[in-house]
Amino acid sequence: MLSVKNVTMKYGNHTVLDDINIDFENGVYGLLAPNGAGKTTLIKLLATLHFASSGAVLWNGESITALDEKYRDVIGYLPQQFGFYRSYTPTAYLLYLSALKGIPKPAAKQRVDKLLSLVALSDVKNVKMKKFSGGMIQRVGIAAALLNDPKLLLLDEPTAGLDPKERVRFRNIIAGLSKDRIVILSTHIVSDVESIANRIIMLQNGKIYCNETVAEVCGRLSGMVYEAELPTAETAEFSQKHFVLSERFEGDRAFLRFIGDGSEGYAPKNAGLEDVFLYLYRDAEGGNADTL
Amino acid sequence: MNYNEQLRQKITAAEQRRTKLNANIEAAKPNEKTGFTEFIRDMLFGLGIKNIFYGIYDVVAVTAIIGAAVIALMSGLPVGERQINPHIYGIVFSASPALYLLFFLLSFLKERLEGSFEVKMTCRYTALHLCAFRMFLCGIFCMLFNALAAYIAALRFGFAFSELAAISFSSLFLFALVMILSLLRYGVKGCFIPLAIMGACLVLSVFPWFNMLLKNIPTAAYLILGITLLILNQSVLNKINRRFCYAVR
Repeated sequence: MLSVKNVTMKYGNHTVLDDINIDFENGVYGLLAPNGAGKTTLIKLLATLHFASSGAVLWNGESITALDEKYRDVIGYLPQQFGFYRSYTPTAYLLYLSALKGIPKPAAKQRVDKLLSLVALSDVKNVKMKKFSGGMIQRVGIAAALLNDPKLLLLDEPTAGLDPKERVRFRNIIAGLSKDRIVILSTHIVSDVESIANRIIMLQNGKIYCNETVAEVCGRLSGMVYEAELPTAETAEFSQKHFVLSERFEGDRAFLRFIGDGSEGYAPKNAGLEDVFLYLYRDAEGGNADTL
Repeated sequence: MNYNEQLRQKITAAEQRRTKLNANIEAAKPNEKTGFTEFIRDMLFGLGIKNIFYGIYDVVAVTAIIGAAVIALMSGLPVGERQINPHIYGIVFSASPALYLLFFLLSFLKERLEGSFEVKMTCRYTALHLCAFRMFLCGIFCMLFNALAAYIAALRFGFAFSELAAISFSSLFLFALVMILSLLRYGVKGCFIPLAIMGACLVLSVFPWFNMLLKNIPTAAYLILGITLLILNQSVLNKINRRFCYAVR
């Protein structure tokens, strides 16, 4: 349904996206990469906020630039920082956005009520948004992105600023929405996508490093992840010799999850998405990753 | 597979190709709603004035109050006194776009603070559509305001109304054009360019040669210039409506 064809995006001499090709079908896509790797650029490109230096984005085979408002009618977009009118209520603001999206007023009222209920904001639907917490604002943003029942939902770092409870609630909402639409969720927080994404897209040096299921991505570290149990005093020495993914301490014992070749004598563990992310971007400060 | 089945398959394939081709041709056709009148109608009846100025009602109110205060002040000036006689042309030229620029500066600053630009750009009626329509309405309002101010000034200071009105008319749309082009080129920061030019013109109005220059240009030339600038303005606004903003952003 949505195809990104040979898209390159440059800012001056800096190439952010380099000859990207992706085909999206209904389901949740987790766009996973460190900050500065080009996730937001790709999302903005799909949201028509940026235009590719070369290449094309096609919706059902037609260029999104040519489709123009017909394309905007099918997208829902939640930016990294959702802008809102502080002195307005969520109901008023969502009705305004509905008007901008060309939704007739009677239908908009019903839709707004339904969405506010979906994001658990019905109780405060007539309270001014200046009194809202970051999480509540983010939920208004999610409702705004869903106003036109979009076929393509673009979420840029949607869980930023949410507490753990709200993150879980958000994940459940997204999982429920993904049956009949494309959801592209950009994040650098692995847990946001690990449980709900049908496919994980990782960016590396402006290119697509992988576009696979979670199991396939984790399979890249198959037989390479181990867990060592050591006295706490020995962790520093161990860390110098191995690439340690995570550390856990219990009393004077330390449990280190690390990348190894099996020669250490430990049994291999199942690799998680976070292990892959940490290993892949171990030297990265903006998406420069090593190849697995 | 017999000959008839093969033929039927070929016909089906040809029909599918033709349907696809027709769809492509339809998609390639310019949007029917590209005329400026259609744009105005669509915005007025599709979106409505309430939504066009949503979030900036306070800016509208401030601009209207300032405009009304200026008219009230001018109306209170004593008749026949020509204290500002040497500078009147420069002042009219520089001050005519003031209300227009004030409105847009305040509305852009407010919208920037709210940070809702990105979400609006993904809607059917984008932030650029709103901006284009506000410019159109504000242009008309300021033209009427300037005409009234020119009328009062002409009455109070004994100048020809047509002369002052023509200067303010051309000046308004000159600055409006500079603003929209600056905006498309430099974004929100661009709206400070016409403001800086306006300030420079106000300084220039102190010098007699600048006033003489403005005075010596025939009224007809101002009118022709004003109409040309108005058409150029509408053309740029229409380009926004036609989403040519893709090319200029």
